[in-house]
Amino acid sequence: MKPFQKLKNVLFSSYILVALIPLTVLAFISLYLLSEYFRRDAHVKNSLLAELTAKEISVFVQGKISSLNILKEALNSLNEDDSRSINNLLQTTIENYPSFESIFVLNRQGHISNIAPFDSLFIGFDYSTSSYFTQTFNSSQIYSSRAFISPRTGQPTITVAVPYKNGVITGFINLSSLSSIIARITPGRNSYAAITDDNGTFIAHTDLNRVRQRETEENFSFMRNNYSGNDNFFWLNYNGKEVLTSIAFINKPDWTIIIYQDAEDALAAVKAIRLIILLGITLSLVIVLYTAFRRTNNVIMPVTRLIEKTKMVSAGDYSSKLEYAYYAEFNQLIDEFNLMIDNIQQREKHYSSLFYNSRTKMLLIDTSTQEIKDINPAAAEFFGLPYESIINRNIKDFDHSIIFRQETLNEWPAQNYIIRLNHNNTEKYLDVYASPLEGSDNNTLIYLIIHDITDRIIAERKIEEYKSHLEVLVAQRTNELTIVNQQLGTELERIRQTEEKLRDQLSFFTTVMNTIPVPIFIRDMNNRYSNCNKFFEQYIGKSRSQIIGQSLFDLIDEPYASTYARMDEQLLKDGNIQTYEYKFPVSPDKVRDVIFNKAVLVKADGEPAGIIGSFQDITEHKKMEADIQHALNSEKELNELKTRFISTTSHEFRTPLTAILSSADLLELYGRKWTEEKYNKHTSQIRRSVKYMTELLDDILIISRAESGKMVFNPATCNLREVCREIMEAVKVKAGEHHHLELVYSPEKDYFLLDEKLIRQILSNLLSNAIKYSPNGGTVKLITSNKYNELTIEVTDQGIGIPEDEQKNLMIPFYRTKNAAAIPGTGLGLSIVRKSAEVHGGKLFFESCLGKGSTFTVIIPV
Amino acid sequence: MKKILVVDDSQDILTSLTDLLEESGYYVLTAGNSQSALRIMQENIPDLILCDIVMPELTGYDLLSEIKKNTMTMNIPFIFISAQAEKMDVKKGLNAGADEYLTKPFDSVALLGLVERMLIHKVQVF
Repeated sequence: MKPFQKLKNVLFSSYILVALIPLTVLAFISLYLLSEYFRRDAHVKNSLLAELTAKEISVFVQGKISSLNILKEALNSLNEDDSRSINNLLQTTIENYPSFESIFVLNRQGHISNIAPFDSLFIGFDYSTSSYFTQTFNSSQIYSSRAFISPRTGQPTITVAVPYKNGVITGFINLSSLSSIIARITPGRNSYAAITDDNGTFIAHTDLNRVRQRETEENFSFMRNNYSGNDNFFWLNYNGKEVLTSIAFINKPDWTIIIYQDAEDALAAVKAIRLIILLGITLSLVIVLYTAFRRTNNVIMPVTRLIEKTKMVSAGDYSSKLEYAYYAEFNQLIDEFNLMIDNIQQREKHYSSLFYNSRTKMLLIDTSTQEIKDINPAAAEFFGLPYESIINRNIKDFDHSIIFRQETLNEWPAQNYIIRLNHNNTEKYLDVYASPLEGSDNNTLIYLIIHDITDRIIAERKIEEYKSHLEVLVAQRTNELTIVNQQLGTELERIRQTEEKLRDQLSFFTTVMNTIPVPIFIRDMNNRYSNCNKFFEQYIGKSRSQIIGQSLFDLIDEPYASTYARMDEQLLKDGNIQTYEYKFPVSPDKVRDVIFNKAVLVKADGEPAGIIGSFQDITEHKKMEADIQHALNSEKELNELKTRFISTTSHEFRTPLTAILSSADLLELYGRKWTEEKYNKHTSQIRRSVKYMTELLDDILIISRAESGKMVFNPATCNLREVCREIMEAVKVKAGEHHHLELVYSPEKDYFLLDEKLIRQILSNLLSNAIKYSPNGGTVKLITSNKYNELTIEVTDQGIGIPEDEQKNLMIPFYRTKNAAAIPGTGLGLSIVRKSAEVHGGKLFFESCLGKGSTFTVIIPV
Repeated sequence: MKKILVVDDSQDILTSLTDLLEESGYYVLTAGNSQSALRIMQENIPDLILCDIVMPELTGYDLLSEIKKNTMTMNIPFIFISAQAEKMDVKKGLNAGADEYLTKPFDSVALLGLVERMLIHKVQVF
């Protein structure tokens, strides 16, 4: 029995059962509908048709009769002899009712008096002997004949007669149109419709020939007679065939209308429907079966496959993965299974790799058969045989069967033993580990792990040999070590002492560094600060932690840091000690002048370890130096000025003194013998010289007072206009007759706050210079003006002027221009004017053109 | 009669020296500046020259160097009479080639004695 056959059967039958319920219902409904149709079809279709046809036919016949009745009424109202009107009426009627073959009137004598369509041949035709005439004429009842074939048209015809006052109106009705009516209503293939009269003769038939041949159907009259009136259809044997018949009857004329069809054809539609339903049910059954089968399989297949795959895996075949099932619900299981296979496969690989690639000899033995079941290459190599010839070989067949100790093969649990054997003429020691393989079938498998421990055994022996030798050596070495230990102890003590000394030195160094009141720092080879004293911290305003480890470039602003680094490089290159004066930025806006003293710190191996440096702030010192220098320069300048002044002054004094002394000498030597004129010449020379010297002395005093800043300045209200006028008057006396003096005083007020004595010096010096240096006369102008807060005194002459290259020296005391050499003067006048103006807070300016004159201007703020 | 050229920018001094030398029997030529002295010497070669130093334009040094350039005048005894009385000035004057250096104010008798001595000295040389 296949796996899950029972579950499969249950599932399959459940599916079918579930599907069969609606199918059965459907089949029942179909069958019910079919039977209903089958029943109703014949009944409704045939009987109704027959009914309808009978009605139609009766209307047809009645219509003809009523048309004759209308004609009767018309003829009754006519005059007996009015043959033309009768003709016209007949003609109109026949035209209105074309199914009349002909209509004629029989007179009282039974002769045709009128006929339509008119045919003279029939006029006078005698029907007096005809029973229908007598019967009709006398009974006054409508007469209808049996059907007959019209000798004229050859068509089935009946005669209908209606009596009227002067005779009988007769019409021949062509029945061929009746056949076409019934032919129209036949239900289908091999079906027929017919009308028979009360004799059973066909008066109409789908097959018109059967009417023409006046065939009679006896059965119909029988049917008519036995017609119960309930069943409108029935089966009957007709012409040797079973036919389905429907029948209807009309009276006056007493006709039977029959519709019939071959049973085979009548039932064809029903049969077809039955076939379709059968096919449908069969198909549904097939679908149901197929679907049930599929669904069952969709459930069973994954399970079956899982079992198959599991078998394959246990047989060691991991070749393919389990595919996903139709129902997703299985997929998790399948995923887990596949994962499990992967894991098993991986593990299998690992273990087989462990087994086959191991250099340890391993093999599997079946204890029941004493055969080797598996062996790894290392073991196979040991036995010196190919794998194929070892497998399934009895262990007793091996050269070294001693390996497989019989007693171990049946023992439990594991055994471990060492054997000694001769392998390829070499003594070998093997360590064998035998253990039953847990989980093997019937526990008959054991595995052997064989280690070649020959080397170990030999080594152990050798070790044993060495051991005694070593003991001697160890004793020897221990002795040596004891000595060395003692030495080391001494050395350690020495190191400890050295360290102590070093610590003392370090402490000394630190104390020294922090005691010397100058900033000291140490930078390593990477320009990082590695140490500094507290004065350095204080100087740069940062704590030790903010300094140590920082780069020079982090701590010091540019460009100073780069310069220091450059100098450090130079120092490292040159060695020795480096001293230089440079700046030190204490903060971005405070840069101090310092003198650096740097030296290279050298490690024990002679390599430089960094730079140690200190610096001294010389900012104050430098400032002081500059101040002293400045003071010295000023002093020197003053000294030089004094020396020059004294030298110049002495020279200036010596000239008049010479004149005085010379004249005195001459007067003494020769005066007594000289004329009075010559005597006086020398005495006046003495006097003139003395006067000149006095003036010179006054001027020098003024100048020296001014130079030493001791010029007396006593501003007081003074009448400037008056001063100007007085000086002008005084100067006029000195002026020659070629001179024209002009005074312009423009200020609105006369009184100003001025030092009158100094103003007089200014005015008299400028005016006397103007006259002195215009030896050829000309206009000398004194213009005084006051604009805004400035008082301007301007003196203009038309004299010799001042050479351009000498104008710059004009204010130097005692300086006299070359072109003025012939004109006596001390060279102090302008200096006095300038000093006087400056004491007032004013200034002296001049403009001059050589040979044309000069203008001196004093501007004093008031 | 020996000719003496006196050069000084001070008219008073020129007057005094002229009177002094003329009284001693010398012929005196006077010049107010160096230029006129050079002009005078083109016609009259003096036997001795008394010369001031500080003068406008050409100084006594300039005049001396001009005189030393000319073979006709280079050997004339040349005495500076100057108000520049420092030792340095005297040394400078003598170094420039002057035969004697007299500081102002000078003693008239001493001057006369010096002139006489210089003239004799020169004669002996020739």
